[in-house]
Amino acid sequence: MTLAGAMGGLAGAVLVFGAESHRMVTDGSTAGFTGSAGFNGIVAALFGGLHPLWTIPASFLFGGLLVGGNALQRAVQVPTALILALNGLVVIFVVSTDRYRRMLRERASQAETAAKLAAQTGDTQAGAADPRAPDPPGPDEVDP
Amino acid sequence: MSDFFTQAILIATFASGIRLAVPLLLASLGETFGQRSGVLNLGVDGIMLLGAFGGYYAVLQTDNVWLGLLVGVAIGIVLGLVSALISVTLLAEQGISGIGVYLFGLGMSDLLFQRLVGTPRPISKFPRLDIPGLSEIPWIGGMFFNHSIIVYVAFMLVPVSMFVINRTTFGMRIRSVGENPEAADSLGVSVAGVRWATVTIGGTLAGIAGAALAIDLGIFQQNLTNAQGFIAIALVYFGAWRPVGVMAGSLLYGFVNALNVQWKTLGIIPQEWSDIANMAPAIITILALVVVARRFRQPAALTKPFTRGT
Repeated sequence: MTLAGAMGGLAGAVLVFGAESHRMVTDGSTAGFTGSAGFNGIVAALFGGLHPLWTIPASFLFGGLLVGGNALQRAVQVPTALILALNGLVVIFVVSTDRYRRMLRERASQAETAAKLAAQTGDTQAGAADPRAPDPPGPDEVDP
Repeated sequence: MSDFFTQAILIATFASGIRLAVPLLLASLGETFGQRSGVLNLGVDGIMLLGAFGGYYAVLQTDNVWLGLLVGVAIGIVLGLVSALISVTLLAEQGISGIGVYLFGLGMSDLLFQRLVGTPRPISKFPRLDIPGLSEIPWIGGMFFNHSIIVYVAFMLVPVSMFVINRTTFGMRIRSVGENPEAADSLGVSVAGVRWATVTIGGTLAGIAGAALAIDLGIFQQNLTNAQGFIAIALVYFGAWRPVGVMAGSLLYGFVNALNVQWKTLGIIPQEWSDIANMAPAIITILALVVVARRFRQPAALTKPFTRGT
């Protein structure tokens, strides 16, 4: 938790020194200077499957979404807020399918072990008609 | 400082403290229901924001504050049902799915506001309802009895929630599902059903809270609630999952906020300190949380999704 706090502080400092304009600007909007980058960080971590390396492409994706959102606003006058709403939907869908995907994965690995067992004991029964023969594991969903 | 102790200003500060406490009270009462049944709904702030925008837009179009409130209720019900689907039926991680709902509400309310309204336009506010007789009492009348109807309704909901949670069959089911869902399930209580109901109640009250906030201020802007939904969740812990405690927390927060505003207007807090003073309500709430809430135990099944036979 302390580490997370330290990283969060670092992110804020980077935002002031590097990314924006070398100063802290509160643009009058109550969302404040960070523009809820902290919450987006949660989204990115989640999207990267809570793995340190995968969060890098995930962060790039959301950074791209935000910058693209700005361009979109300039080009076709779609407010950037759309991106925030989209991020929310990403979180909702990722989190609420989490258990389902885990279930699929477990079922697939069960099917694998069952197939192995069948192969091992197969020399007596030729592995022909096992009534509990599992379906071939379907195309498992690719983890983000 | 001496200005502060005049009767008119003291009464005004007290009354505005009560008024500021109302959205928090509504939202945190709703959250109390959810948490007592074991569901932590972190999306309160998002639901409040969408309810606030819905209420604001309805009043802007029709100039009818009650219709605005009704739209807030409808949005609250819909989002409450969605939250219930996510956290009860789809068994999502409750700490994170709520943040999704929050981000969605934050972005969506801003998006709709910019597309449909554009520049902030003030709307009509709740009419004031002076309770005849009671509002004539010196001091007390000015503090308690000349608010808008929504204020009375919000405070009436405290004893109602107490009664529902502590004295009805439904309340007993809520508590049993929150403490020991396996036992409740074995006795034939539908854990999912109870949780769907409580989360929907929570969403509805959050929607009302948002609409009440927008109509009370007579304005909408990006991030209108300013994370009050998260404060409301903290207040549930502060109030030890009891409606009266939640009310005390909301009032504390409201009063500190009102004092802050009043002292700034009177110049008791100098200009350069105003940003620091703005943090006072949050800091005091956190301190009170640390001191008070440690003595109480949270519902045993809080944040734990329930599946039979695990």
